[in-house]
Amino acid sequence: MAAELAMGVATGVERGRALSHLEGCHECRAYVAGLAEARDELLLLAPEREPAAGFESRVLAHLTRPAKPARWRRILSLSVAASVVAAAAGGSVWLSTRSDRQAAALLRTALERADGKYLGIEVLRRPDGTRAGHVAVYLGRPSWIFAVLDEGSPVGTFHVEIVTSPNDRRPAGTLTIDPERRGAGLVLPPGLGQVVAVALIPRDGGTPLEGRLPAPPS
Amino acid sequence: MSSLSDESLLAGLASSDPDGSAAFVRRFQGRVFGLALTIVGDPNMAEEVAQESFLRAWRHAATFDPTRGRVVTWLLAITRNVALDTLRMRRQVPVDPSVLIDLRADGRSEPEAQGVLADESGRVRRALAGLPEEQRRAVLMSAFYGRTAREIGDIEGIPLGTAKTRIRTGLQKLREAFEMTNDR
Repeated sequence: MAAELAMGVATGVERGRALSHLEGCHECRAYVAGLAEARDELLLLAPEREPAAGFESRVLAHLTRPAKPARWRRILSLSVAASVVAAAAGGSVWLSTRSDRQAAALLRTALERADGKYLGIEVLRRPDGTRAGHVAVYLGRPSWIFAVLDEGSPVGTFHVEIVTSPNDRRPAGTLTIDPERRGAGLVLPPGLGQVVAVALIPRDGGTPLEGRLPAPPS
Repeated sequence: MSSLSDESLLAGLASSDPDGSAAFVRRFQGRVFGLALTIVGDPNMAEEVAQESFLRAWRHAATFDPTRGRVVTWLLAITRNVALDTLRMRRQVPVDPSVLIDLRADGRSEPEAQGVLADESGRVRRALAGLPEEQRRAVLMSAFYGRTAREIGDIEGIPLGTAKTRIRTGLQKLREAFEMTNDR
């Protein structure tokens, strides 16, 4: 499984188990990292080919133009923002000015807006326990997350996995977090069931992050 | 600009310095486009992949960690991912890996004009030539085309476990070979 992880071709439950193991095993993480470096060296085999005339100018023109997010990302950003505003309009932002009973009522209102059963913000932690950022999680219809990484935490594209039990991780899509905004959201697939944690796994290899949800009331 | 290190040029790209960015693109466009073309097989698609790869490098330049590899391999890894994503999105079938394998496994070096990078790819080619053919095919199909062990098993007509073993053993041998050449 180490070689498949290093190649980025491991799939499904096996991948989830392997990643869980890597969280607690420095030796195996170093081994997989070494294999990934060997994989990257292989890419040098591809022969150099000059692109068509004007390629450099076209690339530089994109670099100097402000990036416009793809349409679906703009829609997602708006829908996530709308959900956050809806929750905030329920009063959850101003909890410090309310009594506990009023705060609980407002939070219940926020959850009801999208048939929700959970709304919370969890710390994203590295396997060694240090903080890397935080993730807002809403479980409802739909469920969504919005992750924000602290300054200094590597950004990039992450595979998002929903942990529903210690042995079950479900892929939920990808997030791309850029260095300027440092945050991005994702609508989760339906039918998740019990969610234990949200995991962000760097697509290019690197330290996985996890935000654990509190256990539901018994 | 030609005397600046790869890391210096990447820093120029990260800060959107016009001269540094242009030098970065100029230095690596052949490698990036070449890898993109190797994977997707179509020049127009390869140019889109190459452009997107440079854009991603620009966006994530601040995340480059020199302790984990070189700028060129980091950039080529980005290119590989963009190329594979593009193929998946467009449901394209990648170029027949046997074409890549036949061209790359003979241990011959590239023309002298390619300089330092020719030595590097020669080193990789010699390491690859040291693998049995079946491991070489499995490693190249996985590294260049993102083929899973199951897909390689189907392509080669071998059990899943055998495919996994070939990927694992082949990649491990390459890692050891690269460590030995780095120690020299």
